[in-house]
Amino acid sequence: MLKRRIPLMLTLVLGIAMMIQFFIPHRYSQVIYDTSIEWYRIAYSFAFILGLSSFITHHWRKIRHKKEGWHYSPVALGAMIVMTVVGLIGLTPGMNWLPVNWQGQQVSVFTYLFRNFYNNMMVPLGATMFSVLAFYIASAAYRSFRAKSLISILLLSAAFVVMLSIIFYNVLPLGDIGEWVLSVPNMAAKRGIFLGASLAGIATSLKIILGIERGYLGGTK
Amino acid sequence: MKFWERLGSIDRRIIYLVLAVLVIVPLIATVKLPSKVRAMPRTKDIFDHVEAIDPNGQRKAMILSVDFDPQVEPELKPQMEAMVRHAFARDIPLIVLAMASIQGTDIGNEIVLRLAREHNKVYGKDYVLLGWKPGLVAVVLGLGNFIEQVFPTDYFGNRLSELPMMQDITNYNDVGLVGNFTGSSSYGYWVIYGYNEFGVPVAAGVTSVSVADLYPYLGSKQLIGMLAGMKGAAEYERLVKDRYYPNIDIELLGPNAFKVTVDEQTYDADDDDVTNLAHRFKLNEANLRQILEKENRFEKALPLLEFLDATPYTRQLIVEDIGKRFLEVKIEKQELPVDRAEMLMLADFYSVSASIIDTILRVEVQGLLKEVLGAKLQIQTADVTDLVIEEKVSEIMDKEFSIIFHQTPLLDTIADTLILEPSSEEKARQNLEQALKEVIRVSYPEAEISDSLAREVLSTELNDILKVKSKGRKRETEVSVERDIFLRGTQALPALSAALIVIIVFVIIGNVSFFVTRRRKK
Amino acid sequence: MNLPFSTDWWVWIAAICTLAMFSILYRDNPIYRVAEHIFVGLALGYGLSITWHQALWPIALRPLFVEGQLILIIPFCIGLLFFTRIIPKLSWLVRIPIALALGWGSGVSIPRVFRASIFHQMKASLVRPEMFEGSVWPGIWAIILLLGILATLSYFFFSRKEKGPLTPVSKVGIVFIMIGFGATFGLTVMSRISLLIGRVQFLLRDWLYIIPK
Repeated sequence: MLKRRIPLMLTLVLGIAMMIQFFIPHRYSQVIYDTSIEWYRIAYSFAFILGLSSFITHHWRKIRHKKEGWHYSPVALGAMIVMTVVGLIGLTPGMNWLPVNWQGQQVSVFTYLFRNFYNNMMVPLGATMFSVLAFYIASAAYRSFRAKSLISILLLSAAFVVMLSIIFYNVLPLGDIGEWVLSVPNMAAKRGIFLGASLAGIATSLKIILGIERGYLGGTK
Repeated sequence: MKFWERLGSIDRRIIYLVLAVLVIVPLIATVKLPSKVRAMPRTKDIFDHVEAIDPNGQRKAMILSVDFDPQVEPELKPQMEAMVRHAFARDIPLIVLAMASIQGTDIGNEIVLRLAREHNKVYGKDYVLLGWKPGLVAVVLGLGNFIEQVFPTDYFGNRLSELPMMQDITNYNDVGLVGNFTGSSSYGYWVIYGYNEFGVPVAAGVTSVSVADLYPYLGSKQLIGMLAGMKGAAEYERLVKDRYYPNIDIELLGPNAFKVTVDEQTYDADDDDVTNLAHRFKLNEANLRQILEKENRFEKALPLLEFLDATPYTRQLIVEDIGKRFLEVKIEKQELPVDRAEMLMLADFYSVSASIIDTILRVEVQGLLKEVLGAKLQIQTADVTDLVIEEKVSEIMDKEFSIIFHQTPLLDTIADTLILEPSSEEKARQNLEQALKEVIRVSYPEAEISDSLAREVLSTELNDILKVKSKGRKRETEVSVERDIFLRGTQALPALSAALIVIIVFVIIGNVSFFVTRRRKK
Repeated sequence: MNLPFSTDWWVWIAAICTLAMFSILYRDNPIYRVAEHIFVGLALGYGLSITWHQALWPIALRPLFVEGQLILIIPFCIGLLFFTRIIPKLSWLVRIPIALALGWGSGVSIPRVFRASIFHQMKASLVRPEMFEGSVWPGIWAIILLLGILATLSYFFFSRKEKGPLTPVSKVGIVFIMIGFGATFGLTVMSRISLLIGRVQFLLRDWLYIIPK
């Protein structure tokens, strides 16, 4: 019982305190607010543990139970460990262990590896990962983008107008039509959705503070 | 009938292949980049805003927040490069940080460090890399109170208080613009907690995916502008290039005639135009406008003025002595063997500091000295080394000199060659005298030669040679400067258009086939 | 010697990584799988290094242990509670930092989101008389904009099955929403293609020198 009540109480007290703070432009209120910002960042620096622990558990379980594709898990774990080691050592200020010459400078081999793992492996891998979607979206558009009903005709024509306005932006009317679609009907829809979402967001925040929304506690007991 | 059905079931690999070809071919085939890219108003708004941040008034900084993962790097990197170039070209102090995406931190750093080398910017003075800090809302709110509270140290672990640039930059009050490059919706944090809380202007560079979602904020002016994907990057690149990186040719046609080509436009200019404009760094713009307007030449000179306005930040000038009176000047990648007069002209154009001119003069006077002594000793100039000079000093000292000291004509000639305005003439005089003394001190360490005698010896000879030189200046010369910047986004535009067209065509084919076959089945 | 391609072996590694990722287009294969897992591992390792050097050390550990700002022991201990996630018996304690973060975040965001996203947005949607000065079009667009916003909102709040007086309005709402989604779709296509072009630019320019460097 306590395990649930304490977090709920903390959320309630802190949530209401921060809301009240907004409306009190007093010096002490400002000090509390500044301190809270600083403390929040300090405490939050540890949040990486959540991601790290689930990453390790996920791959560890895969290896232990020899789940499908488990041989890739050591690759992921290995890459993580290597990168962490070269990063932790290589980013230390003034680090000069095992110096190598790189881009006209003497840097530690750890810094050298860290920079190159990042620039020449992580970035190209990540960047290519999404660029493959260009092919999928082309194929999917061809296969399933059908003007079957009024609604899908609207969707399709808006997409075409926007795409054509990008291609022929220098041809005056087309560019301006595209801009009009984006800044009048599109803006109306997006602002409507946006207002709805903001209201919903505020409602969720209130629910969290008041302890009605308690999904973050985990479980449904 | 079979035809239509087949048209509706093209193998996905064929689609992939067509798309790949239509992306690759335009990239290879586009030798000349599209010279005109019409900027969307959203892009122009950001450009104009950055143009209005005055580096000379209250020195306001620009914060660039790198909030994207490597996954969307191809779209956002060109945008960021263009904005960093703009900030560097305008001498705006640049602060780069990351908050919403930890993985993008070093993409931003790589861009800024590379472009800083290109622009000769100094870390800590012209730009600062702050790295990443956790906390999103807490970061944006915290920066509004005190930047150092959020980032006590920079990316490299230096204390912020030790960086000269950060001395006058405390919080958003000293920030002219926050540029947020993001593949998510982190611009929302900057708007809600940055703009609406502290009033700091915010601009967003986003992937095309989220372009349509930004319009509510654009419409309400909570965002001052937006760079929309690669197209937005291309537009901004073009705006920055046209303003700050023109390709220029300066042709010296005769004693008092220049042809200046800025990009594709050609302007006639005379000595006065060029020198006046070159010295605009000492005049304020209103003065210059007055002078030029009086002579009815403003129309003609204005583009040149704009050009000169733009260039001094961006060029790298390396001067090397390559023997005799010739100097080799490297402007970026171009190597130009030039003589003294041309060098000084370049120095004027590129606003080279007085100390460099001084060095150049010194090098040249040393060369002249060797030449003069060589003539006196009747040996080949090329053989005159410092050692030979030293050995023969006493020999020279024994000879009688019947040379009259002509200081004034000499200095006039120098001033003429220097193309300096009157106020600088005195400085040139001092520089040269100092250089002479230095040469004498270095070249005759043991000889007891009085300054005045040495000057007497040298100046007359110098005078003659300079006269010849100043005639030489009038021969035809062409100086050409190419700006070699890679316009990533602009280069991508033809391929982007081709790929979009092919997708539109495929969707149309799919629909036509679908409706034809459905009707037939009915 | 001038070879017609890059001689920097890191560029070759980058090119191989790029091609390994593209190999998924043919079909799912071990090379792609390995590349994908390397990326995930590197990304996490990178994140950890940056977290240590940019966050944990300079803003939490150094001020507390080196500079002796003892008061910071409080947020530090709250942060340490994240570690209880790993200990099954104490794992409920991880709720405390999460609860505090959510409470703080909600409390801070409610008034500010209201001001920025609701008040400002509504104010910007109003039709004002000066919009009709000069040309009438800005005013007309503003009216359409306002009607569109109202219709979209009504679609979300009143599109229940049972018919009400606002049902036709919400039907107008769907027109606007579809145009909005269509625009987003068109832009998404453009986005993905831009990403592809970026990678092709790398291969052709930095690796193969086909586009002059």
